[in-house]
Amino acid sequence: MILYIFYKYMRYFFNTEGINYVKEIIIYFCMLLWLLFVNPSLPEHLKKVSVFLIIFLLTWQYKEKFAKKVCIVLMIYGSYILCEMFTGYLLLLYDQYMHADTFFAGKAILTLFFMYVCEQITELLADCVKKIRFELAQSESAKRQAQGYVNQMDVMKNSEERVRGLRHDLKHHLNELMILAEREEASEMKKYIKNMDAFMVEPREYVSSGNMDIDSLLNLMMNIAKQELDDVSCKVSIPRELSIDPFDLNVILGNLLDNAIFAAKKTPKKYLRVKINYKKGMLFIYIENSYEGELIREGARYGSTKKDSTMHGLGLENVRFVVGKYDGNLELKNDKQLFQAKAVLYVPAKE
Amino acid sequence: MYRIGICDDEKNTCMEIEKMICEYAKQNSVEFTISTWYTGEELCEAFVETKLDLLFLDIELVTINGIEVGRYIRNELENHEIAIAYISSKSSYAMDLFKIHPIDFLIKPVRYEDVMEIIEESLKYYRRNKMIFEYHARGVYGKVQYKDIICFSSDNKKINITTPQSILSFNGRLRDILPQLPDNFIQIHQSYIINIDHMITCSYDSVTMLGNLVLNISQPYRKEVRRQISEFNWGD
Repeated sequence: MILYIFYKYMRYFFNTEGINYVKEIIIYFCMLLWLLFVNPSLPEHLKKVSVFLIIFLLTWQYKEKFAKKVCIVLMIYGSYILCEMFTGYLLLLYDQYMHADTFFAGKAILTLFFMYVCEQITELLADCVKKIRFELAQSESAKRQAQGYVNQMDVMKNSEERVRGLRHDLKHHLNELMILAEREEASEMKKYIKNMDAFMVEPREYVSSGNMDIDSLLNLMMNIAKQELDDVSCKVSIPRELSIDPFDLNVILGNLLDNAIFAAKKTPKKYLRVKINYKKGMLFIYIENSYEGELIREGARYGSTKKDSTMHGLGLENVRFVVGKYDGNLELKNDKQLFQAKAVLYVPAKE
Repeated sequence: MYRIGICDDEKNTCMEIEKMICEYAKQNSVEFTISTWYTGEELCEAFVETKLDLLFLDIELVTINGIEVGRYIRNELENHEIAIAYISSKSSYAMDLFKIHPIDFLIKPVRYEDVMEIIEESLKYYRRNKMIFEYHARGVYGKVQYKDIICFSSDNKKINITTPQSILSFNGRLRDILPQLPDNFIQIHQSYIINIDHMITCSYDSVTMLGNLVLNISQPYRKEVRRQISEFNWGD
């Protein structure tokens, strides 16, 4: 029973990806044998030590940082000792002259009960913390979304103004072209047309897929990227009616691009490439950037190389969460000097 | 011979793309035949006798637009092999375009790198379609082009090959044939291997194949299927 509670603790706090279930069961079974047959025969003070060791050994099979393991072991052990003391105290209050056997039996059962309650409470608390963290991220992303919209409005207004300006001067431009044509100056004409074209293009509009949410977010991020990086390209071919929650898209693209720009900034190549396409009911997102230095890996996951790493690295966690909402997949890969993020989301086409 | 078609009402765009294709052919010493049309009607008429492997198709054609031409090719002629690359001056696309399963989109003014990428992608597709799957088991010998295989399914000790026309079967196990298949074949279930090229839509737990064949992606394969599809989409 107590092992089951330990097990629940471990399951909750450790990353259980890639664990061999058979091995896990064998380890727990060994511990069970130890608790049943060896532990009772030990002297009282050694019993406590052995329980501590058991908890510690149980954490051994999980891939986590050592410090985290120690903290969790101390926490579990602490709750165990507290529960035991508490039940002992309760039983003594209840009846001082209890028979020793009943006392121990009662104590054991009550300890288990309290430990179970403790475990549930910790899980609840941890869930709360996660929720708060996620809400924080949400407000962050909502801010970016609003910013994106403002930027997009600006971009569209400007681009509209440019076209209007050109139309206003169209007569003059046509005249000019006519004169050049009459003089048969092809190269001059070419130059003139190129100038007109350049005048029409709004430099801050990188993406115009017609999907307002994607455009506004990508234009905002690409603007930042263009300021920080040298080699930036972006190709988006998606249907404009694609129905994906702008909030979710924001979490995915915002975080992945943030990370990519941050990493590429520190390399001499300063390279970023974004490709998004839609095929057969799936939205594919591909982001590739140059990077330098060591990546911190925690098991199968990437950690953060940013300075306040407790707050960062959360981004990827949120991306995974949202990708999961679409039953999708996120893959991160690095080879040589390139870092690649590939995401697939299932977004069925509306009929 | 690899056959490429171009259809755009702007003659200059056609010429430019043609020049780029020739440039690509020269650089990679391959040979292409190139045909050009300026309207959708001409193209549709010519399609009755001409066979193409890759078509650059303008979306904004005048009377019959690119979507309708695409629909005609896929639905009426039932030609699912030809790779269609849409050309447009805008980068905003309607959902209907995606139902034609274009290989990619070209934006005017057309750039050489983009044309090159499309040719390379479609050549890859063309080459794997040329390959032939052969089987022989207990005196039964047969061969079928990979492009005709919608899926392999296992049934007891037999493997069934579903093609648009018929179902072929021979004795064998899926896990024995899987390693020799090209990378557009992925296993989605203990008893199914599908051809991604013939996939119409895909959700996380099922795929719809050509001919409205719906197959389940079983739990243990889902994660790997997602990964493989993503890898496949982005090429090497």
